[in-house]
Amino acid sequence: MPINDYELSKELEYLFASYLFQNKLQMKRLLGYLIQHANSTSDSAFDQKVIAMKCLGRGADFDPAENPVVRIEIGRLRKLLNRFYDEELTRPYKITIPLGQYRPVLSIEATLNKHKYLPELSPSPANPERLSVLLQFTTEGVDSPELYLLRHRIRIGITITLGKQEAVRLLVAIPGENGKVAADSIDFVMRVSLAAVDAEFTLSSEVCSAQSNEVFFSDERNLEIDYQPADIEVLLSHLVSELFDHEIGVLWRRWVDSRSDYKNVGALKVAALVQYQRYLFDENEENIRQAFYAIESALEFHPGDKIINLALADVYYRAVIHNFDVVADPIEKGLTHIREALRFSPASDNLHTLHALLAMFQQEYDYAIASLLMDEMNAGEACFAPKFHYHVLTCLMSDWKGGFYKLDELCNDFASYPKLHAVLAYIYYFLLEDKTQTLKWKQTIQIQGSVATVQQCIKLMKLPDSWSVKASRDDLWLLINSDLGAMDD
Amino acid sequence: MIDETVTHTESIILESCLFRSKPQMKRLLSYLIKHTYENNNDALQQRSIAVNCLGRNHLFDSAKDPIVRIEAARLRKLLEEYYDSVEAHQAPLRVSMPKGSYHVLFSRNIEHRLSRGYSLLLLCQSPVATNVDELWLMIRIRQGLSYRLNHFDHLDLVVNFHPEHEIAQRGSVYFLAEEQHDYVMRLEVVQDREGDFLVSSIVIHRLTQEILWSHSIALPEKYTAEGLNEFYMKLISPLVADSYGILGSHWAKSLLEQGLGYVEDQHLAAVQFINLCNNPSKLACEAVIEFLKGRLNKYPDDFKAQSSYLAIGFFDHFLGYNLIEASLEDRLERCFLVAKHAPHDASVSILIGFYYFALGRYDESQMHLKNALTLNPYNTMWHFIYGGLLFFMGKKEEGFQVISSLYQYNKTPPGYYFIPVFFYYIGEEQWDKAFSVGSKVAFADGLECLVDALAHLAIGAQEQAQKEILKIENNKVLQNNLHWVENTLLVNHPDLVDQYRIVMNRLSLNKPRR
Repeated sequence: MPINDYELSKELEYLFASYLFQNKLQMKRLLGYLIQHANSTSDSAFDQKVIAMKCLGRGADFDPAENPVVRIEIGRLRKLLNRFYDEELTRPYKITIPLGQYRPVLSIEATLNKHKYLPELSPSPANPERLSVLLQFTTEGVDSPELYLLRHRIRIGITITLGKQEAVRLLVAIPGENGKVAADSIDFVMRVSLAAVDAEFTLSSEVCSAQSNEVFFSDERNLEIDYQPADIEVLLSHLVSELFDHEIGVLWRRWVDSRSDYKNVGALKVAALVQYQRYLFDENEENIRQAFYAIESALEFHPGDKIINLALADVYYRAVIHNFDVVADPIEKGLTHIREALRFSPASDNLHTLHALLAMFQQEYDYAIASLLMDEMNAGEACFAPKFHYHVLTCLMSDWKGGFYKLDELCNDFASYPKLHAVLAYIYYFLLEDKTQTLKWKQTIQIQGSVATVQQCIKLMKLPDSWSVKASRDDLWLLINSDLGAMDD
Repeated sequence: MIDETVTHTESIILESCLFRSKPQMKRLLSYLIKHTYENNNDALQQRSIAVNCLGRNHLFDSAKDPIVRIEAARLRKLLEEYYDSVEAHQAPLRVSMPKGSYHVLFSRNIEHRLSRGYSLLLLCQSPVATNVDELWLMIRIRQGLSYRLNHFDHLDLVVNFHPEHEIAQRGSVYFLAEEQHDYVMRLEVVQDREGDFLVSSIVIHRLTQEILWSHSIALPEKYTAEGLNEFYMKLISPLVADSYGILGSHWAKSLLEQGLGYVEDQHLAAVQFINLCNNPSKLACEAVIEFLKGRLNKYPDDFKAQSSYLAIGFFDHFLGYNLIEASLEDRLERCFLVAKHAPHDASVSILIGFYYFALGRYDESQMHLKNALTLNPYNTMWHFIYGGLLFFMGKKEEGFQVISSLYQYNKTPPGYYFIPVFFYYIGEEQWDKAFSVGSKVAFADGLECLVDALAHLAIGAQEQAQKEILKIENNKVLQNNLHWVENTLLVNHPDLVDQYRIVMNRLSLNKPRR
């Protein structure tokens, strides 16, 4: 397709104004001359001698055999042009001087031609403090309408579940797109493939790191052919939790490894979240302190950051329930912080649960109960950790029967038993006066060193009605302490 | 310590094409950033700059030597140029130097990159001497509304959770609002002596203090989740959902009245698009396309602007504008690219559904439209589009049901909500209903005349139909030939197409004589 002179002169002007050409008079003159004759029918304009005389100030006695100036200068120009178009990807045209000739070639950029009338779209830059994952789908065998439907349900299900996690950035590959991940700064690639085998659907998934392609997680699950939407929810809740859950997800461990000496922009935020994750993997006083200070210093520069604010809210809750000495008045400070954080993330289930938990610690039971009544909380597609702490809340709000049953079921389901599980089991059976179970759980608590957590729970939970009638919190406190053999302080 | 984002921004600018080969500019910028950040006013005097940064000696006299002013002006221009270039989206901060001083300013560049809508503050309150039931309901509503409104990304939701602001107080709508809140919504829960609840809602525009909405609704003492849900929908549908709701159109209109020059850059795309949805016309579409091209050139990662651009395809299709020249396949592919980076955005799913529809691939279309309803079940506009497209796919009854169920939430929906319903009644030969619904269609250049014309055609009143069509033709804005009507609106009505052709033919025969 020919380029009209007006467009061409505009392109030249743009080129000449660039920093590469701006101060290079000779190059400008040379390029201007070559372009001017680019469409001429004869080759006479491109004779070395003519070029030397017209552009390079040589006289009529110029001999190209002795003087290589034209070849050298054209070589310089060629390099300059290539560099210009390497840097300026968005130009509509491209001027090149192919090796072995001096006649420039003008071409219209093919990529732009394809989307001629659609403005370009480039991906937004990835935030280093988030975990980026690219989701790709493949179908094995023949694609049927049922598989198509299932794929959609799974895609939307994963999208919604991960949408509740501010810290995860999800990209969904364009159908048919494969392998092109470098440009989008992805951490992990998750490949999900669906197949119909006999009377079942098989959903296999594998995850690899975007850089190395080494698969470190693979998983296969079956779904009956006449599945219910709830079955998908259960399936996805498992899959997503095992990968992305802050407490049990495998990806966060990898993420921490990959970010542990991150120094670039956003380093403070990354450092805060790395410390926070490290604490979640190993809950102890030293780790929570490090997490707390890292988060505090990140918030100084990024006060409105939703991910960091949520992490801080969580740290307050855990400092209280495990009685870690991190900061004075953690309940009060935590509540103030959570209410401020909720202002800008009003739909965060996690923050609402944490709000209810801290309100309960403060003995503002109405808030806690109102939160327990919410239909939106604890919806099917939630991950492991949010559900777990929701059940903790239910228990501590003295609905032990319903709460502990669900908590236990959840932990069995995921085969994950956070320390709090044993703590609540012990209190539950203690209140039930089930001697054998109490003894069993007492041992677990002593092994894992959670006596302080039991004491905190007794101090802060809503007292069951039966207890508030027959005795006081102090009586319960004494009984528990004597059972645990803990010193009264 | 200099904030890491500042140092990072600085290094990105210094490495950019514009600055890379200009050592003097680089030195000056670094110098000014350093001393501005350290708040070192002495170092920012002309003399200090000339001596410490531009290589002048102690004899420098700013009255005789304009070097600092000249170099600062160059830097100012260069920075502006830099932030207009594609490279600028790597910079987390915007660095500028206001005229009249040598202090540099840092502002967040990132905020300008993604199109944004208005900001809404939600306040939920109960009386001073509240009881537990009121408090519980208030907290539930606050949480329920927060959760639902958060699904709408054309509004920036802020919710007040401070216990001391939960007590109903006269004027709290005014004194709790801050400068950044465009609108304030206040809900108050009161229980009466019988135990029933009264929930009143009021919405004001903070700047003018104009009351845009004031309603109250009764909930029985034993309210149910469904009852609450209906209450939420009756708020959300008219206020923020249907055609971006009362709030959206108020916001877009009031900013347009101020003049586009005064509207902040990142709001412009949303302002123009919302306005277009409420008053579509070919001219407006053209203007929006022009604007979006410019914006996307500057911020190619603004996927919201990109989806607005693709959404103009709706008007192209149903109003026959044909303004976007890329093929439907290319546009569909682009929608998928947007969806890749914004998988949560229901509006992108709607767009994919629409382009599948336009390509005649109805199964895929339906699937993606349903996806959108799963991603945001609270936006009744998506329900309308789903119903409307179902209708034009030939699933008339299903589409009609979906759309009619929306009227329970919003009694006065936008005019175009009646178009599929109008055709439904035509198809059912329920003329009186068709005429009454047709009269509610007020939308787009002369579309209401077209609807009237079609209604007349359907009952065989060709003379009248002809008059209405002439009205459209006289409307200078809509100068296309009206053949697109056959392929879009009349796609399910072959009998009407025949009649329509007869009238159009007769009109074109008459034309030379006029």
